[in-house]
Amino acid sequence: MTSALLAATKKTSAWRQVPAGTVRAIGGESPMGGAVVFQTGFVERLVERLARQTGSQPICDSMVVGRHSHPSVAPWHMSLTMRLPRPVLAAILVSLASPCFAESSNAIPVNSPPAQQNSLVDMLALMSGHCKTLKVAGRPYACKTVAFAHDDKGRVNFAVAVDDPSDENHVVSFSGENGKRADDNSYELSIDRMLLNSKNRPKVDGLPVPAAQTSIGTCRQTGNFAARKVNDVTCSATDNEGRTYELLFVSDGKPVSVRRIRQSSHSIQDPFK
Amino acid sequence: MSAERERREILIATIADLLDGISHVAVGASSPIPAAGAMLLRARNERTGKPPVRISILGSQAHNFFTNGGIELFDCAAQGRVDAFFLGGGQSDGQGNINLVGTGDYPTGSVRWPGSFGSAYLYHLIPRVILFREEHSPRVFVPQVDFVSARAITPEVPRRGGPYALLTNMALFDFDREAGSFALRSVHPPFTPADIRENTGFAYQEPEVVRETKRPDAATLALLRGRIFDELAETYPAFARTMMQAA
Repeated sequence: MTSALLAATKKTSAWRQVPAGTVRAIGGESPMGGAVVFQTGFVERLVERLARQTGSQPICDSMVVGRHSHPSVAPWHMSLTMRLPRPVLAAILVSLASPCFAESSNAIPVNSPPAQQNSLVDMLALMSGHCKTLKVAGRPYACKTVAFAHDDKGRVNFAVAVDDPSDENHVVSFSGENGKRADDNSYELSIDRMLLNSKNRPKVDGLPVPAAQTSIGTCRQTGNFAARKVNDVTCSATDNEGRTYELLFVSDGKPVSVRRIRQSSHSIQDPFK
Repeated sequence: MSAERERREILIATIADLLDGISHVAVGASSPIPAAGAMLLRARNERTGKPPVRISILGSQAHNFFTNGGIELFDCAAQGRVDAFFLGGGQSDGQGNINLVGTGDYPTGSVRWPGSFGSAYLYHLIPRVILFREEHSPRVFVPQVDFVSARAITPEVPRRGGPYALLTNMALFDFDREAGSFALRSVHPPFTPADIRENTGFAYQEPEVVRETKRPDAATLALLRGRIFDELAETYPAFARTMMQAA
């Protein structure tokens, strides 16, 4: 048993109920609740709000695609104004999760410039579950939500909306390029920067722009967006100031909500190639 | 003995991982593996510059700041100053309830265990209770315990404490307090998910892909086989000696 993964014998759902007793394989959706981080309609509210900010129409569910780059449903209304600028994503995640912006916060000091804003998120996956571990600069936090965002330059962010009572805009993203899949259920991303956002960051269009902090680390995701199943995401990174960031996100078994926001070119590193 | 040592080292390292982020962990009597896990966390945090961890090992002179034993532990827990603790049970069920009293119909059962002591109290108060039981068998992990020493979930009573995970010789489970059930997180080598199903008497959630429990890396093993077992020898000399001889 040297493999890092032990494949279960039956692949019918992300989680299954193992009944009391001996070996019995039963499929079915997990009834686990956990700390559900996405409320019903979260994605819709997210894109609606974004659309309002950009003056465009809401992105419709008919744009959702699966594994292939070519949408199975025609991407109508694919206007430029519907693209998600990557640095804005994390702020949107938090602003929608918690609309309160009034409290003060102790932001992590950063010595890096704001993240570049010339890339556009082309795919967004929202995962339902809870953070068993979330540490920002070594300090433990709870999280509100975790999202996977892929941009048109091939960069991937695992964005974590931090449940920080003192900062409703607190978002940290593990960011990297050249993600690789070892197999259908294993995705690994080398982290080269942390994107740190807080309410104290400079704002563009009313939303804070994160600072990019050079970092080294890795994120590993078990599961498969194409099958809309993610079991867990583990991330660990250390920035150039020596601060550590850790994430262990565990899915509650609900299908991943995958949104392809715009069609992107093929990329062998793209886990949805 | 090498396999036995490796098994124990995986458990110790897993406990250290489960404790990550806490400030104070208390370890009850006769618990060398949890104690070693707590010591490993403390040593690792010192090396990496993380916030210090206070460990209170009942029965230890060197690694315990209590001067009045369990009384202080209980006070400390009630004040919210203990972040993690370990509980086991002669029986545990899928709802996280534990039985430290005995099997059969109380009080006429044929098997009698030491008793509940403060388990129910600490289960309510300490946020990260790790259920630790080396034996993983259907007689331990039952559909329903014969006697409830400590309930994991009490919807009628607000509480901050409760089970966080279940660690056995074979696997690691997470406990979902909202659902009131366990979910398999990883399986220790060389076991398989099928082994876990066969030896678990209660229902639980199993992911489609089950991870293998992470083995401790070389740095962790060096720390374990050096400083940790040296520290542990003060409270658990036989256990520490066995582990060091096997190394």
